[in-house]
Amino acid sequence: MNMMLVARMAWRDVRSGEMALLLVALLVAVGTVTSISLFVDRLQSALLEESSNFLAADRQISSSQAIPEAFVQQAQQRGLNTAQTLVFPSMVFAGDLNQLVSVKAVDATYPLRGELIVGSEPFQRGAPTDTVPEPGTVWLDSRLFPAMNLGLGDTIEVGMAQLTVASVLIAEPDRGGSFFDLGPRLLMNMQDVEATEVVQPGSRLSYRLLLSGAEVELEGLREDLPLKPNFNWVSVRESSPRIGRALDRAESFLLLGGLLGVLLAGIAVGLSAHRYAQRHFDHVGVLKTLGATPTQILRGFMSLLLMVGLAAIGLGLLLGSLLHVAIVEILATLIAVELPLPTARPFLLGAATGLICALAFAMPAFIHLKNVEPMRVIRRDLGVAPLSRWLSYGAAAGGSLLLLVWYTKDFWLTLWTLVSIVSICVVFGVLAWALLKGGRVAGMQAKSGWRLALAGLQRRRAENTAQILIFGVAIMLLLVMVLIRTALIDFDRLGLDSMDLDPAVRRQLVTLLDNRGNPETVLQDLGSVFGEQPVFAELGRVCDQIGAAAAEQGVTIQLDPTFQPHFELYTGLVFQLVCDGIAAPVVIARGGRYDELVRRCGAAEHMGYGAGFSLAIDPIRELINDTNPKATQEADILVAFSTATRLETAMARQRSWHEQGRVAVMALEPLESKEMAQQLANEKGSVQLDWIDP
Amino acid sequence: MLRKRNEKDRMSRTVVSAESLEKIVQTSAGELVILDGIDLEINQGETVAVVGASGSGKTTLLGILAGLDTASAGAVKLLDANLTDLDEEARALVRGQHVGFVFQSFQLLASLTALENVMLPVELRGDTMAQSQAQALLEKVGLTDRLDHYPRQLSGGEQQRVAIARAFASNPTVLFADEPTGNLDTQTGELICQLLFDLNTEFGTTLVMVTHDLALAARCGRTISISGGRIVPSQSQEAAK
Repeated sequence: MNMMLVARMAWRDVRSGEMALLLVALLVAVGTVTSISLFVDRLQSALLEESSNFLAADRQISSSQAIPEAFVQQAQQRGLNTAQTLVFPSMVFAGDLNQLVSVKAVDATYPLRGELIVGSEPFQRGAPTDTVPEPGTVWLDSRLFPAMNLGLGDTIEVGMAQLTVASVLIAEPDRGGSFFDLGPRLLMNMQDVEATEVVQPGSRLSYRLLLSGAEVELEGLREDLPLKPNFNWVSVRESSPRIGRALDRAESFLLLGGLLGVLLAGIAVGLSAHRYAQRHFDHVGVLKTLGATPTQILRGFMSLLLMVGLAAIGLGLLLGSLLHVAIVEILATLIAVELPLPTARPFLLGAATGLICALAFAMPAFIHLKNVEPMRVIRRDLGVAPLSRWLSYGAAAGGSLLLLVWYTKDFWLTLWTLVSIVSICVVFGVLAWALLKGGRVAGMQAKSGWRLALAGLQRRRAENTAQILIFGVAIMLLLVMVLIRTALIDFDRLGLDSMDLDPAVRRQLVTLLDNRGNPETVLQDLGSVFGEQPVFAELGRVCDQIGAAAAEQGVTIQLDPTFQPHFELYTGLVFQLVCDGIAAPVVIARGGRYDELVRRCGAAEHMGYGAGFSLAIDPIRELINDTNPKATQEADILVAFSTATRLETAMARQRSWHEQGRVAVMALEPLESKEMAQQLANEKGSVQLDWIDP
Repeated sequence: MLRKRNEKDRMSRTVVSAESLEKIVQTSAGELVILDGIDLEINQGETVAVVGASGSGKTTLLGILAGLDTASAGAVKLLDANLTDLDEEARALVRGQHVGFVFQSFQLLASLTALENVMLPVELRGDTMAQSQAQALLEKVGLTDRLDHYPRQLSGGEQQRVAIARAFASNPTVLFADEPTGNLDTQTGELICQLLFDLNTEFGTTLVMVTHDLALAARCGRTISISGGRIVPSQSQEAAK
């Protein structure tokens, strides 16, 4: 069959609606993937772009040592843009006033991403600028102007240098929460650093080389440079692990969701192609009697499938684009950033998915058409040899495998997923078959309507079993989607499973993930996995000491090696206090050791210890309301004390009332006489007075 | 343009022949012999009716002679092609080149208009004049005003007329007809039958028709009776013996 004839046949089939179902199924597959990947692609680009703004670059190399010139040269040879910054804390002076500031010295190309916002007056909105402070000038944080009684044009001393205040620095892109960044910012030109003479051996300095440019060149540079152990490579994912993890999880979930959508659409494509083929057995029989050879039939229908596939891909890409615009519109209020234009990848992904769907799910049915006997035209009772199951299911499994591997980028995970699905199909196929066979026995005793229905099911037992399986698998895929969503949100275990790890290491990490509870047991388990470690002995001592005090208060101590409050301030032991609420445990306080911070703030080595915590006021209040019905009651006792009484005595008395279950409040200051105390008690609504006077 | 064979070409050579033709199929009850040693020859321009009771094997014989089915044993020749030696690919080419079909159930493609149905065999041969040829044939069968109608919009008689036009569109050497009036009422069947014979005469085609309508068979030049998968000798043949 020539292409014109095939095109006419395709058009005739589309026009008569024969091809509509297949076209729609393919359209759904392409549209789903395209819309999801377009949205993810744009969201990822936006998040990465925003995150790059936080770095003021695409990547950074950070160190407490000066960045070697060779690094800069290699970056520039690769066509990358570079900028350098140096951050250090310093005292600055203006007249008699002084202030600890965080100085950032930058070169002319800073920043590579994001923008500096400057103004002419403190605490105003300001405007973006593409310049940096001129040599001899500084830009100051708004807070410094009132604190140091400064105005524009005044002079400020930074170390040995006298610099002129030229602008108000409203915002800078890479203002992070680093320990070096404590205090208001002073931005100066890199050329002035030498004149300040503050950069001395032992100074706390943070050098950064900012890099931006093509992704491949950035990664190439990373491999070329001798970074370890003195230089850190910083990317968005490393600098903001939470953003990185969120991105990974969002991508995994949306793509897996999309993939399951495609598998469902694939099943629809397979079913509609099968239906199309069955409806064309006679058609092909007639074509064969008229002289069409099996090769011509095969070529013709494959070309037809290709045409429909291409049309579906074209329309699907369009539909996906429109759908993703709708998604963006619906989520507009939740997306604070402006989404950049998409890359070509989502379109490529959508087109390839459509092609693979057409080939894997629809092609076997189309290939089967060439086997139709021409004799069927005069002998309708002549069946068509069933489609080779190996070809049909093999192609569908192959296509699914290809799509899954492509989406998950993990062959073994994919293979096991498919093996599981096949196993489930076998088990439930046997069950469905048995159920239909059992229906025959039930049908014998049923009323006529049911008997007819059951006989119908029985007559086409193989097809009905296949349909039960297809719908069963489709429902299972939907449920798996829900489970995956929950799992991705709740557990790090999946992340662990997806990492390429030695099995022994993986076992150790799983043990670590599952290990929490009684400190003694946990430390024993940790010791058996990681061997004797000084940190375990230290933890044991801490737990012993706290344990005794906690036991007196009825508090249980649990040790959880996986607990991570995601608060970089803490650099030692971290803890949280959990209280049993009515519905669930409630975290009422969190804290930890921040020795490093104390040392960086200038404490002597032997004094550099710090610990702190924050109380969660709202949960505590809710907890009290939930568990103590008297908490909302009015006080019934006023504890008042004379000027001759110690505050501690009054507080002890109030505590004793509380222990008796009474609601007691205390006068805020000592009173001169009992009369005054009684008057206060009357003002509070005739509460009982407890007067303390030695 | 449509070619018409001249009288000289007609009745000059054998176009269809079968020798010791057998068709045996396997059933759950064992082997079933459908055709059992059929020998026949049909010459160019002949009109032959194949008659017999239901299940006698006449439709199977038609299928094998036309190259739609294969024999279990024996030889079949269609013009110069030995069909028993050919695979489906080659048999399809022979059918496209030399054979036309008219079926009891019309077998028009529902998604195509009358004109497109008639164009189909010509298009399959790659002929660029498909549309004009198809239009001319539909005019001959009296359906000029029905060119763009779909089969579901046509009566049974009209559908069969489209099928006849399609059968002649490829200008076949042999036309095989399987109960061409079987689905039509008597009056319409008569008209269709007349049309078929008229066009057959006009185009000089060899006609092999399976029917159980003895009146229709009587209009053919020769009748072959089949019973139990064998050819039953006619009275004249018996007498000649």
